[in-house]
Amino acid sequence: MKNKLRQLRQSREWSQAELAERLNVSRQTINAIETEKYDPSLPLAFKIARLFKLNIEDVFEDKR
Amino acid sequence: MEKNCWNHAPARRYTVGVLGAMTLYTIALVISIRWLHHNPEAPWKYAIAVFPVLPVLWVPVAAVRFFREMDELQKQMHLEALAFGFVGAGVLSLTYGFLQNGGLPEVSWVWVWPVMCVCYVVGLVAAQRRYR
Repeated sequence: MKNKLRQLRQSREWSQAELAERLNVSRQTINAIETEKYDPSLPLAFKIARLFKLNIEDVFEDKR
Repeated sequence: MEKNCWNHAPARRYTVGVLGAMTLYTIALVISIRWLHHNPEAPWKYAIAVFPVLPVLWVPVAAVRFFREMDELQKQMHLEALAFGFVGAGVLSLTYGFLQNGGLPEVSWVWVWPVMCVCYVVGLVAAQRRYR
């Protein structure tokens, strides 16, 4: 699934580790989502969207 | 501190729990072996023989707790590794069973679990690389 997580994270000047800390996941999970190797669960996708004060569709795009 | 599989609090709790259980197991094993050596015909011998297993019962509990505290990608990787370990060990055991029919030396069934562990580690390394 395509996503804008890297751009959103970089716009806040957060490292992957900082974002991981805020979402209570591992840095590897953030990296795997950013590189589109792993699609997050719905609860984690909502958590990400809420963190950036966006709708889920603004972060994730259902196209490969 | 960066959170990954090995340096966050659940991993430390798991490691300490397993090391504690294995230490108690070693002590219990020495006591059990010495006791059985001096009392080979005692009516309690079977209870004493399995006595070292008691502290090891903590290990599966600790493993499940650790698994529950992982994040979703870590769970996914460990699940893939467990699937590979479980099925891989089954295939290898079956294959060696056929080879034994062909004349290879008999190997004790106790080796199945170590083979499963090796397959699990191989599966985990593969999963780590896949999601790196």
